Amino acid sequence: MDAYLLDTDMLAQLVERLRLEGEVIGPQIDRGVIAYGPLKSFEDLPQGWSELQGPGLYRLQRTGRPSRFAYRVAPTSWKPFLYPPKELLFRARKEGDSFTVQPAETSLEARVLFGLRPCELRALRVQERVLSKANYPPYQQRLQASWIVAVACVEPGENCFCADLDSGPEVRDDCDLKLVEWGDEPRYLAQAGSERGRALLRGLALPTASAEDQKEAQAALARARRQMGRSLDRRQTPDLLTRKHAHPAFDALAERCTACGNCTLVCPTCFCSNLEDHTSLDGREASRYRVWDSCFTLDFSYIHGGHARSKPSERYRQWMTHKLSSWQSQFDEAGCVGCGRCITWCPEGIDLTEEFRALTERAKESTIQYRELT
Amino acid sequence: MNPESVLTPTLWKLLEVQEETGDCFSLRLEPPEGYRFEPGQFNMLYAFGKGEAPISISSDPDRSDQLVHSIRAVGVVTQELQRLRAGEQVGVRGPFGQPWPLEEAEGKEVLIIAGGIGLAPLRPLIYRILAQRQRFKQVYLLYGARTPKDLLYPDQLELWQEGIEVRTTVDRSMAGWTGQVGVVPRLITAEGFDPANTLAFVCGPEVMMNFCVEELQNRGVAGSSIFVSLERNMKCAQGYCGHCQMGPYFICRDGPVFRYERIQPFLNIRGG
Amino acid sequence: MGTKQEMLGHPFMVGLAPEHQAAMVECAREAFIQKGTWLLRNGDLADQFFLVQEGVLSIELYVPNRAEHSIQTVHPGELLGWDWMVPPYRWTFDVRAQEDCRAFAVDARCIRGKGQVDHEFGYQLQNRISQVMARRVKALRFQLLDVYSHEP
Repeated sequence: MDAYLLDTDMLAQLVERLRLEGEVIGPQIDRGVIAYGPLKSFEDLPQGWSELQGPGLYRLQRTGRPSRFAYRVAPTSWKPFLYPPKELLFRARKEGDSFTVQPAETSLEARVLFGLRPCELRALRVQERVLSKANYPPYQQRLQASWIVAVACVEPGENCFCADLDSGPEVRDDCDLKLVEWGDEPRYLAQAGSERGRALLRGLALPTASAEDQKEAQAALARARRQMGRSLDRRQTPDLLTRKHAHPAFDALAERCTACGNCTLVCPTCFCSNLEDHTSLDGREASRYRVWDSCFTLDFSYIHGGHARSKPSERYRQWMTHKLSSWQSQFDEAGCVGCGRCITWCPEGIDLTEEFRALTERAKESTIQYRELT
Repeated sequence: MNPESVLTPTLWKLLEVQEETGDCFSLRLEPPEGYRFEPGQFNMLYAFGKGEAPISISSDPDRSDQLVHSIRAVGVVTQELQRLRAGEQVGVRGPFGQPWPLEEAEGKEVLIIAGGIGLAPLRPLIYRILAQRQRFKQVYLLYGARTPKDLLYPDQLELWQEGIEVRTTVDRSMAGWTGQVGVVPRLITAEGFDPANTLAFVCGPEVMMNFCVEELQNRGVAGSSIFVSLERNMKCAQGYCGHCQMGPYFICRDGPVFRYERIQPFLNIRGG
Repeated sequence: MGTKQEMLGHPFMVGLAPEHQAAMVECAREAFIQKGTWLLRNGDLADQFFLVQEGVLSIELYVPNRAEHSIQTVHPGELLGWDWMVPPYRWTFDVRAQEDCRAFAVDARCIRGKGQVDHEFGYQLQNRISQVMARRVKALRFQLLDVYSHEP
């Protein structure tokens, strides 16, 4: 595969070229975090910045280096750009005894999603598979209107464990372009992942990367693989729900989990939604929206008579076993990509990997003690 | 269904609203040309501005001129549906879900076991069996409800006796009731079917199904020969809203009808 | 506490012939159950029963889509559990300790073995447990009548 070596100016040139394809969305400093949004200029990229992430912890940090991709992941994933938090499905209008229904049209501006981390790219493909199996057309339509540019991770963070889920630190899924940034005076290795990506790179007259350059980039990624802050033993994930549903670790967890739903909001693969129906005040116009929902809310599992999952421990169990185990049965892959967001943004600092480890260990001493009669 | 309409209901004309026994009512609708369903499937019914509810189909699958839904008015949407009058419109998406696998019952005895309004999703199956009666050996309908006045489709229960063995029971008797009193599993105990050559289709409240399955298994019916129909919070019916998941299954897509041995590991997980 | 002598004082034991009392004691251990513990779980193997000495336990039924709810409570001086007598020897309800409890836990296999050898012992035991069961069924029927409801 053709590989090109870019310096900062050439990277800027690449971004300018991508602008011709559509609005470029990329990482930038926004209200105290590195977030994804429209890039007004190449200078918006978070040069010299990184962040500290830990359980319930996020702080911007200066790196003292000119790298632009030294951060890990933004609080909110790329999910909103393809699967908006709120989306109109149809409008209905009452006319006498009857009514009419008008399906919503998906807005399809061409966009360039610039700077997906490998775990985020995996999450995008995971959601793509979920939503195409569910026959939810707007997702596929938006994806087709988007360019996808991924950037490998050479500096994983404290909450990262993509290596254990085979989603990173190198780019492993389909995209248009993939980049690696490495070195104190950053250089960029650029490769195409699609036909249109190949054509675009060729058109820029970039210098070809030498075998030596490519080896250096590979070495940086191999180092990254050994620097994951968290780990997860996937051999323990099959049949998690049926094997471990009564494990006391879930009860212990319930004392900490407030069922706030942050983890599901920041999770890049969580797809659950609710359908909301609205009517105008005069009762003549109605509409339906799909809105993100969370399996941590009580009403999520409501059916007449009660709730299937009335306790927070049951809801955390549902979420965790779905991500790590049931998802595998549903879609032949994990529902977790190892991005660590749920750990960072849990107000209680609950660590998915630690809770999973607790489940794989034997329960602590029994709460029933026996003694022989004297 | 065509791709544009998956997220949008199609409008059907309401032919009639029928009061049923207990707190149930039926909507008789006019389906569009070419609409087909299999016994056990459901539709999402949309009441203008109020929302959708998953409702099983209760009519004869071999009649294309009308489609019937029997409904209990327990929520905002179903209560609104109850207020509709003939000539008004109902939004419909469907049919969804896996049907009762009747072809597996060919040449066998059939137990249709229903509790309460659980008879509604089984009625299309009964129609189909009656239409093809010679394909099956002895067929039993074992039906229980809370009280005699909660027994659904009382006139048909009489009529069906001509083609199949119909047994009814109630949890609580009332003045004038001379029929059986007791829970549905007792009806299973009383019948002389051959467990090795029997298929059971069960629908009712989950606890009732649990007790029935236990009794069936005590009698020697294998978990692979028992089918149950489950109910969960279905919103989208397509598998993207995630609400109806149970373990690895989307009840809307992988169910609502499940082979018991397949769903069994997840049925008894508390809060599963 | 926890002596064979103490067990002989449990109401279920009183009036049994001395050799039958001895048989019971041979099969028994003392059990301490922490508050909140699920002592028995629906579907699990019914391999013992309990003579409650201290604390209250609740018999609970799990109804899917509804929270667990207690249908009866068991108190000191009472017997808990009879599914061990009836095949397939599986619990048909859940029991949770409402407070810290102490009980004599009697091994069911041990008792069934002794009952098979000594039918008189088996009969006496069955007879006593039948009385407990009859009392509980009667109580359940009374509950079913729902005598405090407004409806006629």
